[in-house]
Amino acid sequence: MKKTLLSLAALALSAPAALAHATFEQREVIQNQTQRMVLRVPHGCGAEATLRLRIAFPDGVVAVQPMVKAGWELSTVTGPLSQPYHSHGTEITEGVREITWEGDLPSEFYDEFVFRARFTDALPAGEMVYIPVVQECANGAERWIEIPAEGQSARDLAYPAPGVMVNAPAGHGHGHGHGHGHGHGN
Amino acid sequence: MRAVALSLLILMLLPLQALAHAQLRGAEPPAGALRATAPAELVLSFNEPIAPLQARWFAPDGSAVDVESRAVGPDLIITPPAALREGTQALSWRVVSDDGHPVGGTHVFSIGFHSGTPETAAAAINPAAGFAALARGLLTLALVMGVGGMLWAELSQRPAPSAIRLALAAVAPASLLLLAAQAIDLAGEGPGSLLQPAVWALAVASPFALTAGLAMLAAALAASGRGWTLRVAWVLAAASFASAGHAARAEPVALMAALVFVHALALIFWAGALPGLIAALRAPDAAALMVRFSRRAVPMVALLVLSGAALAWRQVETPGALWGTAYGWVLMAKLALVALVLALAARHRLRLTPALAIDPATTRPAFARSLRRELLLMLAILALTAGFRLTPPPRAMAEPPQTRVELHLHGRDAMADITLIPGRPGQNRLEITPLDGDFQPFVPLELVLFLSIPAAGLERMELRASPDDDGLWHAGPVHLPQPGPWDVVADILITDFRKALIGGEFMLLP
Repeated sequence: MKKTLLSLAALALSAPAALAHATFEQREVIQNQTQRMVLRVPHGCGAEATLRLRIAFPDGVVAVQPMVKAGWELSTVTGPLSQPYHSHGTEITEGVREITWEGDLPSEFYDEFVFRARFTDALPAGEMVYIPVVQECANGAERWIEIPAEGQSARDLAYPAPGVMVNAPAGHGHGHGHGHGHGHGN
Repeated sequence: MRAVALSLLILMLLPLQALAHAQLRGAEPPAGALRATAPAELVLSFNEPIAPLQARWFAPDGSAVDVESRAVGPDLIITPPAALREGTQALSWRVVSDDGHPVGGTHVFSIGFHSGTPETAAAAINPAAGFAALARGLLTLALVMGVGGMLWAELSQRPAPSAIRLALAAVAPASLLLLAAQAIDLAGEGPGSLLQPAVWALAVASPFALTAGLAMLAAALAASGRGWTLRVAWVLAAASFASAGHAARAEPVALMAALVFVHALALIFWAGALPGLIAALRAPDAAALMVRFSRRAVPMVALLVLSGAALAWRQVETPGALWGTAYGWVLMAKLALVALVLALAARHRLRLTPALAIDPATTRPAFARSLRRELLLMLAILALTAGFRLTPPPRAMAEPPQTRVELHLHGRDAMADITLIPGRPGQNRLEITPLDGDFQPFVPLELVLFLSIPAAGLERMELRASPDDDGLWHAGPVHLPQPGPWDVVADILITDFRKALIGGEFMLLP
């Protein structure tokens, strides 16, 4: 009986385990709006400090702009977009695909990494979008890159990629309306 | 119901804090370690305080019992079961850390010896086996020449040549060298393992301890060099040869060991007498000594040839194996040398011995030259025989066909073909062919396998695979405690940001 209780407790306790992972502060994003995203990094690789933090963007996440960070060297990898989009009447076919911050974050400290991005309506409303993150340390890496298969949730995974729910703009089922193609928070 | 309510309550009350998973940092005894005796406790050290959930001990025979575990800060302390059998032990553990995430794993180490090695009959010539063969060769030379030389010294009523005394003195060091070589070979951990008492315990428990013990006893008795003591030494030395090795361990063991015993008795007499005979050629009664030797040597040679033929027949089984296997080649080389020695011996008996009686002055140099050749050939044969240690006989290779279990893990982005060898409880190694989503081989960045038996409460064992030059990935050896259905998950890193987690099941053969 004691054991059953313990395992049930363990099961229950495992629910907020997502907090031990690299996660976004934001729970949801609105289609076709530019959002400010905050990535929270709670620990390094085991006891090792994080020396590089890398984020790779899936198709449908465009107009990516990392925020500079004191003490960290910032770089991006650009490449062709699989789904070009329009901004101020111009077709944009290239963009940031990866961000890298290089610095030093001891494992016992916490930090946040900020970027802006637009989540296009190529990402279906009502579904999660996962953005893989890799923490690189001196002798290894923590790869938050596991994406739940159908019927799975991020909770079933040891190293889930951080994700956010994609929602349609309020009052619109199809992503028309405010900020269409424009950075809402510019 | 109350339990569920309680769990939900815990869930709601949990503070929303950012915390990390517990990670295993080390253990005592460490993973894969070999210990002479069971430790009083097993300690797993984590990076942060943990609470135990479950600890289950899998004995070498696969039987499992739940064991006591308690946490002291970041350490999980486990009391092993009372009556612990020797062999490889597996402890499955499950703990929960402050963040509430349960973490599990299986810790493997050995007591006394490593259970079931994966390839017993493999012909791999490793440095340890080469060292063991060298030690075996030295002991054979020292024992045969030492004991045989003393025997002939008494029969001929002449002092033993100093080479014989030297050989006799070398028996004890050669015996210890053989034990050390055997220990290194058994432990499979390199010469450094000789510092561990448990590794010596392995060698002392092996049949070679008897070989070395009998050899040292025979040498000690032969050194006194008189009457019955010397004959007992002769018998013990021959028994030493019959106590271990391929030839003496074939079925039926009683008959094969007896044949090796007779073979060794005859060999010790013949080979050991040769240095004494060379020295005796200068004596006035040399011709009479040669006749005395011949009279006794003829039945010995007959025994040697007959027992040798029977032993070889049993080991090789088919004529084709003579040129088809390394063992066959060594045997044929040995037989060629034996034929030369027999030809020389016949010449000594039929031509030179009568000639020595008639014309000692002119015969002596030729006889001495020929005897030296016989001795050299004999030493070469003994050295070659030690080489059998490195080559499994065709008999052994024909015995159990190597078993294996194969499975295919299917996924959208990556797949894997996995082979477990031998696919039975005990030590297994794994070969993995990573495939992409179109069944084409590809090179992942990393490949890690997780093996578990959820039904038996065996938490997952983590196995990191590494590629060879041919693109085949290897993992293990890993100790798998139980037969039956196992869960396997392959964690395949495709790019820095993409991985595939693919799962499946395999049946471990009984």
